[in-house]
Amino acid sequence: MSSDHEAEIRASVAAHADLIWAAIAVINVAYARRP
Amino acid sequence: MFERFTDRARRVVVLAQEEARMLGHNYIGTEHLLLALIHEDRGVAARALTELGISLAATRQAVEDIIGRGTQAPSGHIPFTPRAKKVLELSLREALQLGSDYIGTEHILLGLIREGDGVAAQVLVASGVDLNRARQQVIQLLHGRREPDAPAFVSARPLSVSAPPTFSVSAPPTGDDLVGKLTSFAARLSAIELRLRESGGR
Repeated sequence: MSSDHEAEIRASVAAHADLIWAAIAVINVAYARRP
Repeated sequence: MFERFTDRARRVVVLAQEEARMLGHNYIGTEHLLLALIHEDRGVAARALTELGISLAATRQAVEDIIGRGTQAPSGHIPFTPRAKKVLELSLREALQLGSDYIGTEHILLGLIREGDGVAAQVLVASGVDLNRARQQVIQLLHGRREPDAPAFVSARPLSVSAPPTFSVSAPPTGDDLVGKLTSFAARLSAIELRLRESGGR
C-alpha cells in the first residue's frame, strides 16, 4: 500500500481524472441500461 | 452509479492513453487497453497474461506491426474507440457476472477477451493465446487468490475530493469457501475409500 508503485498509481490516476471519469461514464451508462 | 473502479483499473486507463500517445495514435483502442493491462504489472490481468507467455515488448511490436505507428504523439484529449468503450461495458458485465462489486484489471481483460474481435484479441491470438484458455486463466487466478487487492479496494472510490469517506467495502469472493468445501469433500471420500478397502479385504 505504501510502496512507490502504489504512490505512482495514485499520482497518475489523480493526474488524469477526466480520462478516468470518461471511462467510468461509459460503465455507468452500461450499468443504468443493464436488464 | 458504478464507480467502483479499482486504482489499478483506473491506472490501466491512464496507461492505455500513454501507450496510444507513445505509438502516435490519436485514439484509445482495445490494443492500448491490452498494452496497459500488461504494463500495470501487478494486476491480476498482467499475471494471467504473463503466465500465458505475453510480454509487453512483444505485444507492442505486434500492435505496431498490425496498426503501424503515427507520425507524432497526439496532443490533447484522446477518445476511446467504440470498441474500447464496448470492452469497458463488457468489463462491467464480467464483474457483475462474477459477483464482484468492483471492476479490476481482471474484468477489463475478461472484457477484452469477450469482445473478441478487436486488435487486442487479434494480437493475443497471433501470439498463440487461446482466448477461452485465457479466460480460464484469469478466473483461476481470481479463485486462487488468497487475499483481495486490499489497497485497490480501499481506494476504489469516486475521484471527487469532496467524496464522503463512507464507501462501504464488502469482501470479494476469494474461493476460500470452495476450498473448505472441497477439503471436507476430499476427507469424506478418503474415509469412504478406506471403508471400501477394509470391507473388500474381509
